[in-house]
Amino acid sequence: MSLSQAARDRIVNDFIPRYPSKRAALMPSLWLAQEEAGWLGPEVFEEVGELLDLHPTDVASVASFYVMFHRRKIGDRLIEVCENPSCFLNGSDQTYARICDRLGLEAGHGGHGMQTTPDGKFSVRPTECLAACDYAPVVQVDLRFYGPVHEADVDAFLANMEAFSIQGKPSVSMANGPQAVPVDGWEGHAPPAPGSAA
Amino acid sequence: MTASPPPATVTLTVDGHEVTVPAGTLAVEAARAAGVDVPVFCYHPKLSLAGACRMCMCEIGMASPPGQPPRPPAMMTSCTTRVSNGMTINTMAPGALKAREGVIEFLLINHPLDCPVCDAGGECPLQDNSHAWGPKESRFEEQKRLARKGAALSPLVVLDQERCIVCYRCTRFMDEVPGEAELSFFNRGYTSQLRTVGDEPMKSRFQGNIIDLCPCGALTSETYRFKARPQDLDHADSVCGQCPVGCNVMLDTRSNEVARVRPRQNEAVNEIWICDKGRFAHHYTSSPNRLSGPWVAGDGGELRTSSWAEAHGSAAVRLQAVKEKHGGAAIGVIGGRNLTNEDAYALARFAAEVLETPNVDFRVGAETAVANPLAPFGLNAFNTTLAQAERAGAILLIGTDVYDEVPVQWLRIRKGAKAGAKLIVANPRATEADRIAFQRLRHRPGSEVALVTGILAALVETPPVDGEGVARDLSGLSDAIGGTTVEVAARHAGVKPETVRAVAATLAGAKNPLVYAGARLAIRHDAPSLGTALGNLGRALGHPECVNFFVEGANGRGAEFAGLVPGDGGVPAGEIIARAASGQIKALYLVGENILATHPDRAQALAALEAADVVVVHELFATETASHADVVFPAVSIAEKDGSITNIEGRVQRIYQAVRPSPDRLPDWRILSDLSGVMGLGLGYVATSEVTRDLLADIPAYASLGGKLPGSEGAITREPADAGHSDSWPTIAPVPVFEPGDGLTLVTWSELVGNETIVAETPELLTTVPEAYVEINRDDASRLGLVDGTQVEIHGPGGAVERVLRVNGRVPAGVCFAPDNLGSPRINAVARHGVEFTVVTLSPVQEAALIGGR
Repeated sequence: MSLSQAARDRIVNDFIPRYPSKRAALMPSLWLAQEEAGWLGPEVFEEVGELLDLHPTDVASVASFYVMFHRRKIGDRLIEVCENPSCFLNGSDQTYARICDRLGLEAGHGGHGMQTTPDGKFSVRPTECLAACDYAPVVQVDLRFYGPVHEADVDAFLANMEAFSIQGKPSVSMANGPQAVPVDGWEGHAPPAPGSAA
Repeated sequence: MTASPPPATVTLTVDGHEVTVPAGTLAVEAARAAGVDVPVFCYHPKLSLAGACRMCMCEIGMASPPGQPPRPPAMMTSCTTRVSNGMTINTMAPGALKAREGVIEFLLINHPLDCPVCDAGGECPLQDNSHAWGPKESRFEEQKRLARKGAALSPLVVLDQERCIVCYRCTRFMDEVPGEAELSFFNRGYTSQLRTVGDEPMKSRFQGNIIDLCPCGALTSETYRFKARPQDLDHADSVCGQCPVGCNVMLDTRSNEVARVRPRQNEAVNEIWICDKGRFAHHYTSSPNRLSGPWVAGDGGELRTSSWAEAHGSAAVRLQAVKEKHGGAAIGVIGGRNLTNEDAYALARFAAEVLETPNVDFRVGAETAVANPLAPFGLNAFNTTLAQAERAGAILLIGTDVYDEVPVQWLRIRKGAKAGAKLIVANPRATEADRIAFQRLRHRPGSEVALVTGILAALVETPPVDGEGVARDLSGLSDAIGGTTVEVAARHAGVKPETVRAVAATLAGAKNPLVYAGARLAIRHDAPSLGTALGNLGRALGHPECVNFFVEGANGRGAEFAGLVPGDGGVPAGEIIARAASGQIKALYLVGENILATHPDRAQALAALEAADVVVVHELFATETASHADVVFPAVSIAEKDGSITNIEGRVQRIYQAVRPSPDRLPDWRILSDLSGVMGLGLGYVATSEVTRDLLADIPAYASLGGKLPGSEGAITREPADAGHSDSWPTIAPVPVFEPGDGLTLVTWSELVGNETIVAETPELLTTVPEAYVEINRDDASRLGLVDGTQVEIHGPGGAVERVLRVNGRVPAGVCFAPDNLGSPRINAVARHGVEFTVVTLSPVQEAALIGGR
């Protein structure tokens, strides 16, 4: 899992010149690398470090600070359920438990513990406030908001997420962040092949 | 608008006492200047500011501008607050005490308080500050955090994550001082974990310093783990005996054995750092493998233990016989680079007065009898202080890998480079210094004279300009370099002329240039030429004293000053071995020198040992060389010695005995004095102080000491200049350009930590020594069909050895590099002494068994 030549060029020609120090280009470089591979492997820390004159430990340490950087391979789609007060009062814990149950995972993992289905199609984890409390309980899939998704809605949500899409509420805005691909059916529907989602 | 210059000092009040400190001082340091110690964890004067632990909170009030109402004082971290005029610092304000109490209570929530089983217990800032400032009771009743305990960050450093208070001292040190940011915090907050990427073991040779820096017992030493309580240790001030920097150390002993080595602060030498070799490689001093009692060879040549009297008698008779039959010059004396000044002085006197031989040399492998290549300029071989590297404008490193050769000085060079010194690295091999180099010269091996001549030619073209804009008159220099042009010199050195010109411009434009040349260059056959070239360079730059040659051994400089160098008509160490091998020299007297491992030509060293009628050896261990001796005297280690040693810059430093030696071992000076007595020409020493007294009176370099060893800072000494030197431009004797032809030119250097005898006694350190390897260029590898990571055989004129191949892009074509202190046999098994450069061929090792098995 190495950086593509295109990513290297982008880091050297676009990111590094933007900032007074090479280290400052670390965050966009890591994001770009994660866009390519879906996660950040040890080779990426070496390669990004080499491009930015940083020790790979330094690179990995920064990546570890942010929960949105993944240092392990995750599922094709990442489902995050808000567990902060507005959503919790609206039953997000039950939503979370139901999603886990439907995907054959065990609920009850606190903190940022992430679980991935054995087939590698989905990863699920609770998350902090997504700033969409008016749609509580809110679910975020690949950085796109959906809600409200109550416990009773989970089956329908998994079958057709787009029906729960929050209109007019922009997704997390990240330059060139991953774009969620609409999936219009879940049960019996073949998920996108690995890599085609990005 | 003209800004008025900031005031040089500010006056403020600390706990009611007025104190004046330089502007820009931190409040915590101002308090210290007023005699008040503010408790800290994350703050460290040698590191950047973190403000992470909040322990140093004080109530700090700022003076209000005129006419404004007074501002109420506020709680501030005194480690990140700079002082200002009229500031009031109240370190004992009720709010400050409450804040400290809160910080301690907070830190102790997660700290396991396993002090009874913690190595830091008794010398722990967290313990001390909890005692002094913490609450009497904890309100925390919940389950404490569980994290990694006893986790190895490397074979040398152990992490207890539960104890960590996340002060960032260790990570800041690794990033800022050696520049090896291989340790960092992963995750954040409550889940912060100190790790390396992929949990790879740390590789830095300076990692031991983080043990000293850790304020809470989270980082401890693997080799000292559970060995002693601090209150049970005895302490002796000493100086590290592993390299020429001469770091000040404290030997902590328990039950008459060294339990650990710690750095002692000496801002002029090592500041507060030491390298891992100095810290961890001390177990040899108490090893059961040490020689105990002398050995004498019987009639059949086999060694057996003997009494001191028999050994002295046997050595005396054998040496006397050679001296009477062939004259004193038939005896060669090698050694002294790792001895004390007292030992070196006794050895020099023993050689001159008892053996009466001029063939004395501490410089193993030396090809020139000239001990100081800069003597024609009235200079010493080393002319600056180590601390000067901090203030240099440009530093030229030529033929030295400072990380391996003078490790702690590398930290000082880095400090200088961070402060603006332009680092120029001239080395055929890529080194650690390349990472922060301003300019790099990857010259051909052996072309250093041509390279420096090229720099001189560039200076003749464009002479340096002084402060008034007047160009220096370098017309005489043009003759000294024989009219060589930059182009010709650059071609000989295998570098680009424009790079040579750029380097010359950097040096010419630097305020305080500094030149460091590797110790190997000072003993090579062309050292006099290189000395002339570098001496001219110093003069051309207007800083004649900026040129320095390193020296090998912990006391190489002291050995040089003591006169352990070839006398009138004497030959250098390399030639002594060659003559012994050819039968011209009949006896070898080897003091702490395992020539089979360190002489550049192993076959020749073996021939010398076999051909010599008499071989006398002083050793700590039964080395391979000792097994060929006729008489072996067991010597004492540096931990068991009193006396002094002289570091690379000529600083004489005192060492104190930490361990009482067994009566079966004696200091080298004592062995020599007793032996001289048996030979009828007694030096007559029975106490170290007598040797010290005589050497201070006799050795010209030490005249400035006034007959006394210096105090804890040590004192710089210099050899008096030769009367004969002139102020003109001496002509540089040309050195023929080396043409390798077919094959690869072998270049060797020493890694800081090799599998040497003294390292082998510290298994934890030995595991960090890489398997012996040889490095070649990618193109050479593919041309020869060799694969990275496989075993290859190196064939040279002396023989063949097997090594692991490392292929990388940092090695120039046509050259192969192999460390000379790794592997068995050493790389000297393929080399030939007296050949300018060894040309070798590499071939894959056929692993027949494996081929069959697959």
